[in-house]
Formats: sequence, C-alpha cells, structure tokens
Amino acid sequence: MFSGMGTSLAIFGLTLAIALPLGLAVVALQQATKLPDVSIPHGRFSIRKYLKLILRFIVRAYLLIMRGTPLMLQLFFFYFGPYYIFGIRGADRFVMAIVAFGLNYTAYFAEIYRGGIESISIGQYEAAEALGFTKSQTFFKIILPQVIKRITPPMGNEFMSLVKDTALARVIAVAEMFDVAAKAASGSASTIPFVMAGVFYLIMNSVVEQGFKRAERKLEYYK
Amino acid sequence: MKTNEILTVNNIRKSFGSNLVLNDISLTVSKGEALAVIGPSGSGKSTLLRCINQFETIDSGEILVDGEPMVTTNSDNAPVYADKAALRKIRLKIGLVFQNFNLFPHYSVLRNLTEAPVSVLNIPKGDAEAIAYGLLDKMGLSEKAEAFPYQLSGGQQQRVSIARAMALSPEILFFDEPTSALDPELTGEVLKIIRSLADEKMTMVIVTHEMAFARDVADSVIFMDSGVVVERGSPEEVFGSAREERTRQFLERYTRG
Repeated sequence: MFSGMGTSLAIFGLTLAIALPLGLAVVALQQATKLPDVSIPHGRFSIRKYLKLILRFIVRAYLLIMRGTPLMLQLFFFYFGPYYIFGIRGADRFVMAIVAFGLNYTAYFAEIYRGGIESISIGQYEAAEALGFTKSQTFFKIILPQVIKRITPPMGNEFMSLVKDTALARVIAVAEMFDVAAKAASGSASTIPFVMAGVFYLIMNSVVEQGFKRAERKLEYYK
Repeated sequence: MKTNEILTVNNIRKSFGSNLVLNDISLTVSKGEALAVIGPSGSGKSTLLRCINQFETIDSGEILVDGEPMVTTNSDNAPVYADKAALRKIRLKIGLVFQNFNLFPHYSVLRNLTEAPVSVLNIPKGDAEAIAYGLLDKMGLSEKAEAFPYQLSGGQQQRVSIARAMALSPEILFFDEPTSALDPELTGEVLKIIRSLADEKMTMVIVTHEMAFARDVADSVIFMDSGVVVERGSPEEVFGSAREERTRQFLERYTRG
C-alpha cells in the first residue's frame, strides 16, 4: 500500500516538475510565433515567416491532440508506441507514464498560462516599456506576478485533477495507489482497499486544496 | 544644432490601413515649454503621442529627441529608425503619463516609483527611495508610500503615475489625456500637480480636453484636426483670436458644451 502511495505521489510531483515550466515554454513559443494582425499584402517571401507558421501549427496540433484525446490513450501510446513504431523494446513503464502525464498536463497548463497572460491589459506592457524595462524584465517583474495571481484558482483545479488522474497509470501496469488497492481488493475479496485508496486521494486533495487556499490568501494583498 | 529644442517632429505621416491618421505633422518643443495639444477625438493627438513614444512606427518623416535622431527618412521616403541602444537611450529621456494610469497593481506605491530607477537605471535602492519619497511629498502622497494602487482614488493613482514617470528624471514628459478617466471632482488635484510642474519649467506635452486648463497652464497650444496641425499659437491667440475657422468652431462647441 505504501509503495503505491509513493508511486502516486511521485507521478504527481514529477508531472508538475515537468509541466509547470514546460507549459510556460509552450506559451512563450505560441506568443513568439504570433503573426501580426494586419498581413502585409506585398510582403516578400521570408523563411522566418514560414518557420513561424510551421511552429505555430505544431503548437496548435500538440495542444489539440493532448487535450482532445483520452490521457489513457496517450499512456498506451507512449508505452507501446516505441515498440510498434520503432521496434524499440524495454521502455520503462514509470518513465513513460511520466512522459505521458508531463506532456498532457503541459498542454493544460499552457492554456491556463495563456488565459492569464492575455488577461493582463496592454497598458501594463506599455507602462513598462515607457519606463525602459527590457522585455524579460517586463515579463518577470510586471506580467508574471499578476498572471500567477489570476491563474491560481484554475491551477488548483488542475492540481486536484492530477491527483485523481495518477490512478490512470495502472493501465500500463505502473503500480500506483489504485493499482495496488485493486489487486489487494481482488486478493482478499474485500472492498476495504478501495475505501483506503479513496481516503488516500481525498487526503492528498485536501492538502492541495489547503495549499491553494493559503496561496490565494497570500496573494490577496493587491487587486 | 539648436540645443534648447527637446523635441523636433518633422513632416511625419502615419496611416492605419487606408486611414491617414497623421498627415504631415511638424512641431517643436523647447526646453521648459509646456505645450498643450487639443482637438476633437480622432484628430490624431494620441497617435502622435504614441509615435513619439515608440508605441507606433511612423510611415515617413523624422523625430528628434534632445537633438538625437529617433527616426529619419531615407531617399526612398521610408523611415529609418535608430538602433536599439539609441532608441532605448531616447526612451529614457521621455516620460509618459497614461490616461488610465497603468500603475503596477502588485507593487506598493513606493515600489511603483523605485522599480524602474533600480532595475533600469541601476540606481541604488536607498537613493531611489529617497527620490521617490521626495516626489511623493511633492504630490501630497507621503503617507501613501506603503499603499497599493487599488487602495487609492483615481486622482491619487494619477498623481502616483506622474511621480513614477518623474522618478526617471525625464527631459520631457508627455501626458495622454491625464484627467479623462477621472471623476470631475478629482481632476483638480491632478491638474494642480501638472501646473506646479509647469511652474518649475518641466518640459511637457499635454494632450487634453481641459480647455480652461490648457489656456491657463500652457506656453503654447496646438489645435489638431483630421491628422493635421491646424494652428499653433500662444493660449491667448488660440483661445482668444483663432486664425482658423476650424479652431473657432471646435472651441465654440467646447465652451458651449
């Protein structure tokens, strides 16, 4: 039971460690490949522009696939894909589960970041520019702190979903909490292990909820 | 060159699509001068300000700040902007006060004033704070240093944003309709501050709809309409005996309304 808990917690922690920064990178790529609103009618052929278009398409496709297909399917894909596509054997279940969870949650986080960034008024950027801040200073000193406040509530939702989603790793036989509980239940013909698993997820999520409540309260010093 | 000319704008044009917003605008602002820019909505006043503040690029013409070319025009009549370092240098000579204040909500009033001096000009924090307290005192906001923008009235916020721009000691300060977002009873306190800056001979360009204020404070007044400078003169000339029919019509509508 305890090793199952440890595995669940590891999936949770590692997924966040990957998806939180990677989501920001995806948004950065998305923003960097934005095309100007007014297309120049007699613009010259430019490789940069096509590269931008291609990158933008890739980001869009990635976001759609990750958010548009079941995470369970993605787990199968990353675990069995290397063998069926490239003939590579011996993919590690746990590693592949982390890859699938990481890439899946990156897509959701990227969308949350995007929503937060786009909710900041253009005036903030202009004020920063007028005061001489560089682009990166503007982002890290002015924009990001405000984005963090705005995305805290939706992030809380995602964190809680992730706690429960870790149970999906058992479809590629990662021995996480739910998998251990299910095996124990069928071994002992009892539903007690399921109850215990349920309590485990509930406790974990109440910790997550408390954490977010505290974070939100901490960020209440400004509006 | 004429060293007392802080801002020189020569024949600039700017269009958005097929809409010509600035049509051959020229103007100069001398050191210590307060210039008021008036005109109906859509006359190009704000766009002019945005072009000088590098938020928009011009289609042709030239802009010089403190004698340094920000943008010139080449022989093909295309604009040539200075390199990044020069543009940045010019940017720091210019202060801008926005209609909507655009204070940083997550910083205290004090930090709103010190953040740019510290991280842009590398002024030691202690010095930046001393400057900030001095400015807040001038704005009558000494006791608000630790407050956050949301705790202030609109008039107080606008005064903080003037102080924020002043904290970088710009050569010239631009105001983009500084009282248009304020309740009528709050405009007075902001105008009083701008007036005191004029008394100290701060070089300023003020886009405003406050005609009485422009008349009272400005050294010269420009009336813009449909992207052109219709006329420029002293406040007495423009408000008292405008040469152009369009100016008279505009002022008549304003004083009646």
